[in-house]
Amino acid sequence: MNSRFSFRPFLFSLVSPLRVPQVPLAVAFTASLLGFSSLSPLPARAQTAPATAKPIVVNIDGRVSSPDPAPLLEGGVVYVPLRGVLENLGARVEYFPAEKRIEIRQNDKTYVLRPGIANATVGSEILPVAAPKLVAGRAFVPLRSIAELFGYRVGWLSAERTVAIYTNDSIKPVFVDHRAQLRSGGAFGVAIDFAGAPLAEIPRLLDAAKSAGAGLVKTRFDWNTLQPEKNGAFDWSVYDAVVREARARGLKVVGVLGNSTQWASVSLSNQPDEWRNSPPKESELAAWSNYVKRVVGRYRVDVQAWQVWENPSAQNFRSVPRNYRNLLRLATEAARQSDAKAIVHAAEPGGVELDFIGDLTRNGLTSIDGVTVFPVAQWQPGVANAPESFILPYAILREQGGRGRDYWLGGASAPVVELKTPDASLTEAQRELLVNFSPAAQADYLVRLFALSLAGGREKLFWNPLQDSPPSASEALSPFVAGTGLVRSDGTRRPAFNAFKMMSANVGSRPYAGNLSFDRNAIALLFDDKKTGTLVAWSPNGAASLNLSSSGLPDPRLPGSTFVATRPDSQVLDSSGAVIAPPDGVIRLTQRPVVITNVGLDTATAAAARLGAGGLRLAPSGTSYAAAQEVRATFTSDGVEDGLFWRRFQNFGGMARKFSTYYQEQNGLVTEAQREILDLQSSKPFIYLDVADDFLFNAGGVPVTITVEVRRPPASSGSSIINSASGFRVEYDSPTGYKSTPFQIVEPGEGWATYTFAIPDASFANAEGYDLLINTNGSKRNLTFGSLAVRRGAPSVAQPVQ
Amino acid sequence: MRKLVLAVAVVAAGAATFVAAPQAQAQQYPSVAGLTPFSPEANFMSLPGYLRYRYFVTSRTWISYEEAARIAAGG
Repeated sequence: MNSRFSFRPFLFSLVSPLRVPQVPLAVAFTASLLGFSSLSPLPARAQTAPATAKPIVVNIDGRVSSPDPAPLLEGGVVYVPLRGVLENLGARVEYFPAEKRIEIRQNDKTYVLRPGIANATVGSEILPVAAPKLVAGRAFVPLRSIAELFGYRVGWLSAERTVAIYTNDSIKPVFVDHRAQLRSGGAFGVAIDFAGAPLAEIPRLLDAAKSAGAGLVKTRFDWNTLQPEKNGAFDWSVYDAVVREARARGLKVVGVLGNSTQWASVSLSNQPDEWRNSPPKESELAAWSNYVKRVVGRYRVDVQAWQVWENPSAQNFRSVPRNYRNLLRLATEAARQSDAKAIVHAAEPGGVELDFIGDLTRNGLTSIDGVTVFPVAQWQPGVANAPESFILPYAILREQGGRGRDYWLGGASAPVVELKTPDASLTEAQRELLVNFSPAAQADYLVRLFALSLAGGREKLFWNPLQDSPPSASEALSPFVAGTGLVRSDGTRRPAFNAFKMMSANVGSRPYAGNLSFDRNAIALLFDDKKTGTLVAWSPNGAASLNLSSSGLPDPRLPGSTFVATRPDSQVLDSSGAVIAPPDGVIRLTQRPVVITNVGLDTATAAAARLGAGGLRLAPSGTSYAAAQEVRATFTSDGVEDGLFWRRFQNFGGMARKFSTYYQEQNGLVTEAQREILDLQSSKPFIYLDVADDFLFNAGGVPVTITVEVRRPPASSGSSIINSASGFRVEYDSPTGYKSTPFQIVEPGEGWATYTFAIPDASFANAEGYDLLINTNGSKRNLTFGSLAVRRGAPSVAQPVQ
Repeated sequence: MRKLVLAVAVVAAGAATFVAAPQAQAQQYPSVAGLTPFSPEANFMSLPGYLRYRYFVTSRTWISYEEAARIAAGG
């Protein structure tokens, strides 16, 4: 037996027992230690094990023994015989009955315990431990004392009546409590793709994850890496190394199941992007189930949760949602065959799509443990999306998502563009790119998204990826370096790495504890573990300030400023963790977040008073449309957006940008038909719209009436209707995806026409960033749109419907 | 390590487009269910062709015709 013991007093006493079953304290404490199954509830009265019960055995590092006397179970507390267990661990135990003193010697240290006394003397130190007791002249100690004194991992496996002791963190336990493991991993993780990585890279990447402050690592257990040949043997080498190295570093692993192998993929292409990201064909679904069963079976103590596919957007899952649900169903069944307690999560396609999440339940997928969400930094390429967009979806998940379901943030990411070498010959567009996607902007985004996500109830947050992939041959020639990782491909760290570390140290381990402000002027979120608190603050509209004071004086109530009580040792940090201001004075808030550590008690109290039970929602600003019957938009350069917004989509693909210029007449927004057959971007056939969220959001399929005002195109002589037909359709967000009205021909003539559409099932959940789309594809001529209105309910009799 | 497919393209008009992966994405395939091929509502295209075109407009990414045909058929 290995006699090298690490002495880590109170290491495991720091584990919070927040969610352990309601059992006596000593037992609960033991249950919260790493790696062991939950305990069965025990009666409070002291009792000895019945004579017919199987004797309790001891499992030390995988070796089972039956010490004499056997361990005891009394009053819900497990007592182990000192001599019978510790001597098996290489210690020397002596009992001096006259002095009522128990002496344990190991590794040149002497521990002195006394029956009934709840402390131990180690040299000149006195350490509190659970009191040992004498039974029939033999000394017993509560199991947790073994952990307290010697730093072992211990546990009580009630079903097996086994005391389990592990002396070495690198030894794999026989059983795990996945939830306890996940709790010990903390809130923050990084995603790393090991498929194709050399084995030598694995330790380095995991060291980087650890340095960043991650407690969790998410990785795909890539099917094609594991089983490259049809009916072939599984090659476990890569992922055996991953779980082993992760365990050695105390990192908890979350696994992703997927993607397809080349031989199983429904795609016939040789392009890895295509076959990898397409689902398996129907004839290989049995192989998919087998892969899941084998992987979960092999790694059931190493991997604490499984997610089915990563971010199944169109690019990553090249099929329809029905096929994703089928894979999810098969994977859940197969995983539970290998591990009845496997935690299985679905993944949503991106943008926190509430309709997709609701569809999982509507299609009978109720046995999954949660859905991993992917808030996006860009709705479309180059179109930045603020983290505040996800406040409302988060609130709805919290309120309606189902009790006990996980909704982790599966992969936050934000792109960065940097110049390899200074270059004076940049275009205006390139300069703008460098500013909008700077490393500092990435760090700011991380802080804001993580703070909002934690406050919004996302219990685990992953950044994807930890490190950029090596550049391709063409990328190596580009003057730009671009990526989304915390670490560049050459191993150097971006400011977001420090942001992640700073958030992990100051925020991740502290629960959300309320806010000082939560509106468009200022967001100030407090994270507090009842010992110290950290405030994360910024201003979405750049028009707020904080007034900091460490003097202990009360809020002077400066108008337009939020008071923050600090302490002399408080630090005011930027996203990268650099100190930017002293803990006293006024700080102007911008969209760049500030992080204030060690806030004063007054601030903690003020924030706690604003901690509500429901989901966190932004305080309304401006006009409220909650009671309105109609919202409307007018499509002129100075047109009104009365609860219906279109200007925010100016950079979306195909969005109309030109206004008509009829002199002294009503004008509108002009959609442009395609002129150049080979230039698909020559057309601007769309008008995107967003309905005010307090008017309708995630409505679940309600009837609305849409009225569109469009100018009739002039009659063209000598042309057939096929060559000159103009028309449009309206696409809208429904509970089952975007749907469309029939194509509406706009008859040529003079003046304006109004068309009314009855929509039976509107959801308006901003699935891809918008609720409505005017689509003029197929119109041979440009069309000018004057306005659009959305009214609650079906059309009235007076409104003819198309 | 999954290969980073990254392209930075500067359009002649001065606006910059930026496509980066891997990063969380939200675009899904447009629905072509119920559309009549080669009709105005399908932009006078085949359904796979229209699906490819529509997806390109919002994602700046082309999918193959084979993929588009499979998805248009519901697979």
